[in-house]
Amino acid sequence: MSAVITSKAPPPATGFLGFWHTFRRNKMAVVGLFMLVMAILTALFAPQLAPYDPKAITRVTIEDIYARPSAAHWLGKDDAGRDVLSSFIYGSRVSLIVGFFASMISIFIGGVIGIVAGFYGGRVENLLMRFTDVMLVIPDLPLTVVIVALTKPSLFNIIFVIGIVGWTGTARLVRSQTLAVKERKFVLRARAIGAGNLHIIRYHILPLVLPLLVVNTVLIISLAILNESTLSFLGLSDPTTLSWGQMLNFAFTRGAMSAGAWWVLVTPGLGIVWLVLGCTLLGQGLEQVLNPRLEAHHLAAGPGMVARRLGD
Amino acid sequence: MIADGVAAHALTDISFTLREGEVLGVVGESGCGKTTLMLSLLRLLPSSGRITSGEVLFMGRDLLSLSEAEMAEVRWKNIAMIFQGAMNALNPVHTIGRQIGEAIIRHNYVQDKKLVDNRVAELLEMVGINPDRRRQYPHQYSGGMRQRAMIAMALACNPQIVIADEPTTALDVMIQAQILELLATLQEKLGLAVLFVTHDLGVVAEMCDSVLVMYGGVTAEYADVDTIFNAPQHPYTQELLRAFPDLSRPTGKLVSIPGYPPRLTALPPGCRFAPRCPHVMERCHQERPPLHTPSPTHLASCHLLET
Repeated sequence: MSAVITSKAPPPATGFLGFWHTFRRNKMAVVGLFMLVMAILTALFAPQLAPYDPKAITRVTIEDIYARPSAAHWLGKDDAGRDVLSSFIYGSRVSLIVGFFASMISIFIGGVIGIVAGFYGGRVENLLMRFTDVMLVIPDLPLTVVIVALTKPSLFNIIFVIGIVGWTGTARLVRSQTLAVKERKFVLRARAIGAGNLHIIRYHILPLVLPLLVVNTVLIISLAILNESTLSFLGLSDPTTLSWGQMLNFAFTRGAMSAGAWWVLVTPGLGIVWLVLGCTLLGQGLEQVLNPRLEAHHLAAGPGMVARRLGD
Repeated sequence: MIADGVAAHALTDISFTLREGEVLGVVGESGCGKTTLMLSLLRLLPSSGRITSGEVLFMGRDLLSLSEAEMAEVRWKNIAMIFQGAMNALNPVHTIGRQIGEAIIRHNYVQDKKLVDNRVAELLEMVGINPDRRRQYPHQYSGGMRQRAMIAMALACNPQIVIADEPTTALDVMIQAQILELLATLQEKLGLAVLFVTHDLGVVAEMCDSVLVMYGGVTAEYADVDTIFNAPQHPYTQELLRAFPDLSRPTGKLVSIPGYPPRLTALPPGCRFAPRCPHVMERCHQERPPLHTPSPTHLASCHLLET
């Protein structure tokens, strides 16, 4: 046997370009990404985009309170005579910051607990998963309300609380994936090489759990944004940070409804829907891109199917 | 070895010697403990399995008495393994080169990053793969190439012993022949001691110096390859050979052995082969046959050899 097997190596379809190629074809994911990018750009360029400074001190007359949308103020004014559009643009910053950082905390805790429980098994797994179960059955909202009420309401605390409440689903998901991956032959091979647990987790388990984590991160971001809005709406956020939930809270408690000022309520509401929808679409699209097996099988019942079940 | 629930003895009474440069064939039906035996040599049994007694002597050291860290040093550096089914034994998300390098880095076979890369290229060249392909992923390799890559990986740290666990399953006949030829060449060139697990008696006759025939987790017969093929003493070995086609008897009928290997939870009380043995006697059902030595280098466990 001396013949060397030669063939020209085709350029690998892996890496970012290959991923983008598949990603582009998923409409849902592209729309989601577009929505999210729009929101991020708005938040980044808030000072340039906002027509007024929402924190500037202005003289307010009685006509300014809940002023209808006009050429100067496209989305009208709120109860303090501030421009709603400007508040809305600045408010996106808080939602995004809380969404990203809280989901990072959730994903980190959930990922570590899931991988450790799944990989080590036995008593460690039992302990960690029972703890997860306990956290899972405690209703999130009352728990967050209690913790926020006990701590000082600040942006950091809100992020922290949302982060440490939202990791349970991730932990369960990651654990099950870890259980599946650790039984694969290459893990046994890695052991035969003499590799230790840390090496196996980092080199063999994590890369195969990562797609799941990425998808989960995007989905959790939307949950965190929703949570933040809920807390702000309930008046549990830092009153000096301007967020969409806060805007809703002010509008709700300060008589926007009875004044008929729908623009004050609808604007932040639509903003929240936009962000959450964007994240969900992106997350689900990513899931389809990263895990092609989720797509309907070509043999599954469908309009293009040759044979149909009796009675169809 | 203990499976959960009731203790099931998967392997008992097995002993063999592997000399430097020797190729030992391990044969037996599926489920008779061949892979379990190989994994216990490396102490890699699944968590439900345990080695309750015995010795694995490697250059005078008992591997079973080493600490986990010391054992990790022995793995691959001294005893490497070619796994059954190369596709599953390779991680799909890393390049072949990186995975071969994994062992080299683990054991500091060479220090420098550049040298690791050189060593990987050299290994791939040795098994007949274009070294440029070390940056490709397992799915870009054909089945035969993956198996070659596995062989390259096994040789990465210049081990003294290579365990080849059915290295040619799931490959077509032509590729099987190529892989076997490659293994034989490398074995000779590097003076490796090889534990060759296989179902293929033809391969055993071709490659091995001695043969261990296993049945139901015990030694049926252990002898050099000529004795096994020309003067087998154990009825199981005889039946196994009759069930294999032989070119010198092209008209000879192939026979199968009726029945199945015993389940570990329901082992027969006497000889494990007794229910299927053509020469079964009354005492075979009651008494476990000891290992007889028809000649100093020949072991067989059968009551027939008593007289």
